[in-house]
This record gives sequence, C-alpha cells and structure tokens, in this order.
Amino acid sequence: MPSRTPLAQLKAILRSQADSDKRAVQITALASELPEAAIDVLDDALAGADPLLQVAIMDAYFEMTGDDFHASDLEDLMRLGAALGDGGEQLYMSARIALGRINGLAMDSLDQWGDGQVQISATARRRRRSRRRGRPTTVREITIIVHGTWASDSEWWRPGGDFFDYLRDDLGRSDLYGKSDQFKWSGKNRDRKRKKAGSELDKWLRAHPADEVNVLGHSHGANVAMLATREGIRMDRLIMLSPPVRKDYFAKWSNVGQAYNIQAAFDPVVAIARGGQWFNLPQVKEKKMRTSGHSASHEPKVWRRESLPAFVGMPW
Amino acid sequence: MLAALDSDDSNERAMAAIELAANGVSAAKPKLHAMCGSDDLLVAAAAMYANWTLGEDRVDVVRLIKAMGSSDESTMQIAAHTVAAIGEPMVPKFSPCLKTSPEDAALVLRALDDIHTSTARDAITDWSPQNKALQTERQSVLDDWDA
Repeated sequence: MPSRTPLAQLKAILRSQADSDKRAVQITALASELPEAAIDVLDDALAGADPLLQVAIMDAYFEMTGDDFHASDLEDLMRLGAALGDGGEQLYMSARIALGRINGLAMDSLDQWGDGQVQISATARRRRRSRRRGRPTTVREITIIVHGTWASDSEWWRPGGDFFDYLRDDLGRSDLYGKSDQFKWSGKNRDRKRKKAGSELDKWLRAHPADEVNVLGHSHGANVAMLATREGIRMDRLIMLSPPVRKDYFAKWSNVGQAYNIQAAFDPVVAIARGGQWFNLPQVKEKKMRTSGHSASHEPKVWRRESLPAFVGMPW
Repeated sequence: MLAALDSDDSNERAMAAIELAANGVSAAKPKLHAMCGSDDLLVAAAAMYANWTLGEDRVDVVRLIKAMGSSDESTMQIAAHTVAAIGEPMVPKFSPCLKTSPEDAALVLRALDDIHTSTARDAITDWSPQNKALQTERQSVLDDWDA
C-alpha cells in the first residue's frame, strides 16, 4: 500500500480526533516536508483549531513561508497559557518556543519576561501594520559578511566558502548576500583605507535596502562596519568577529540594534594590531571563546563547538 | 606572562611575545631570540616583531616572506603586521626580494605598499617586473598611492 503524501498526512491529522498535543507534535514534525499547497490548508485549519493546535499550525506556517505575521497571535496564546496556570503550561511553552523561532529571540531572553510578555520584533509589527493597510507584507532582510585586512581575495566569506555556506545552509540565512556585487573593500592595512571602506559600506547598504540588516564583520572588517554606522546606516545586528577594539572606530551605537563581540582565547593579531579585545560597553554583548587564533571566529566547526549561533540569538 | 612563551598553544606564545615586548620586558629577550628560529612561522614572525620592538634586529627576510604567504590567517596577518610595524627599515631588506619569484614579489609589493613611505614608493617605481600580473598589480598600487 503506497504511503501517503505529506499533504495527505496533514489533512488526516487535522481531521483526526486524537489529542491536540499529539496532533501538534505530528504537524510540527511534518512541516519541513509540506508542499506549497499546504499553506492554504493550514490557513483554513487555523480558525477552527484549539489553542495548542493553533500554535503548531502557526509554527508550520512559519517553517514553510518564513512569514511571521502570526507573531502577535502567538504572543496572545502565550499569555493565555500563562493565565491558565498549571494546565496551560504546555500551551505557554509551545507558544514561547514557536515565538522564539519567529522573533529570533534566544530562549534565555524570553526568560527575562517572567510575566509572559514578549518583545515582538519590529519586523513583525511593521508587517502587521502593513497587512491592515493592505500593503504587500514581504519583509526584506539582508545579511552580509565584511572581510578583514588582506582578505579581499579570501574564499571563506564568499559563496562556496566554508563560513558563507555555513551561515546560509546550516544556519538558514537565505538572505545572506552572495551576488557578484557582494561588498568588498581594499583590505589595506591603513586607517584611511578603513574609513573609506566604512563610507563605501554605507553606500552599498543604501543601494541594497532592507527592512532588517545584519552584518558580520571579521577583524578590521568589524571596524569598517562600525565606521559605516557613523555615516547613518542602521544595522539591526552587528556581529563582530575578532575585531581589534579601538575607540577611534566605535560605532554610532544609536544606529546599532544589538552588537556582539566574539574573541579568541589568544589572538596575537589583535594584540599586534594595537587593539584591545573588549569593549566593556552595555551596548555590546561579548564572548571569549576557548579556541585560539585569529580565524577561529569565522570557522564553522568553532561556531558549532562554541555555541555561537545561540550566543548571537539565532535563529533570527 | 614569561611562562606563556613556553605554552603548547602557538597563538598564546605569539601573543605573549607581542605583549611582553609592548611592555618592554627585556628579561624576555633570550627566549624571544630562540623563538625567531621556531619551525612555527606564527611564533617566529611574532618573535621577530617582539625582538624589533625591544631593539634587536632578528628579522629573517626569507622566513618573514614565507610567513606572509602562509595559508594560516594568523601567521599571514602577524607577518604582515610585523612588516608594517617595523616600517621604513624594512624597505632595504625587502626591495631586493622583488626580483625573486613572482609569488614572493607579489608579497613584497604588498608589504612595501603597507609600509607606504616615499622610500617604499621609490622601490616599487624602480622595479620593472616582466610578469604581466605583477605589472598590473604594481600599477594598481602606484595608482592607489597617488589617489
């Protein structure tokens, strides 16, 4: 007897009279296999579903579409779960996990919101307003990598390079920019060149507008990114990988949503570049790895070993 | 910090060498002298920088160029920064190496560009590579210099 297609399985689950928690788990497990035709099926099922099933449907919907317009609905369900007390804990946790995926908040960030509140990303809020006004709801995101000194011809930050492919394929950053006009700068080891690169990066990002901008900068590439914020460009996330920290390169912090600094245990390049390793600023979340070496912060195996995706709040 | 010069972690050794030199710790000199001969080019390049900072010329141009061409990013960067940090005194040491292999010449060209003094510019201007790729790169450096 031929096995049923994922779409057929989904319809059977939705028709079933089994317990909601069991069906919710089945829907979530099936989500990554569902065809596009399942989107309408999920949409139709939402209205008649109980709260726990609604969470699973919204989570599957997000898995398929990357569409986060249900974020505030999940927030409402999370509050409902909190209000129901012990009986609603499963609802609360399911909604919280799904919301964490959609909003890209790390779980320990949600822990801060003990009364069940959650911060909905500005992205989701903009989209809800857009839907009410009947405008297109697509949110444009862009993630880019900015290389460091003497790395303009290196492979790791380009399509096919290990770190680029890791961010795009393993960490799901389908918005990672890799076209032929991918940003690069001279990489020359001079202050004037870094400042020029900052201006160029500002211009480049303005020429590639997005609602959400994420920048990962390695070594002086991170300093180039900070310099770009002084030109006016805003970055929702600035991930600085082994930057030589120098005050004369500090960002305009009001143009940075959240900044991260990841440093090796021992990095002689940062030392010789006459930079410190630490910002010691409230605007920057910092991590010292156990791994040494200047390139460690852009090595996929190090990212896995040091749990760096979680540190920078991924998935976003 | 002195004990870190004996670490099993070459990055730690290199970092300690740089920081000891930055802090003017002359007691580190004997170990730093020995480190210049290390098989590990990262350690050797860092030790050359550290010795220079403490007033000792232990630069081995051949090994420094090899370190600059390393596929290991830390080694390449340490060597490049060593050259830039020493600066002008490196020009007469490096200039003759423009006439060696195309690979070495490309690295030396980049180093002279990094040093970026008038003497370094003269060395580039006086050089006439036969290799087309080097001719292009040389012109690009000179054009950028004047920009």
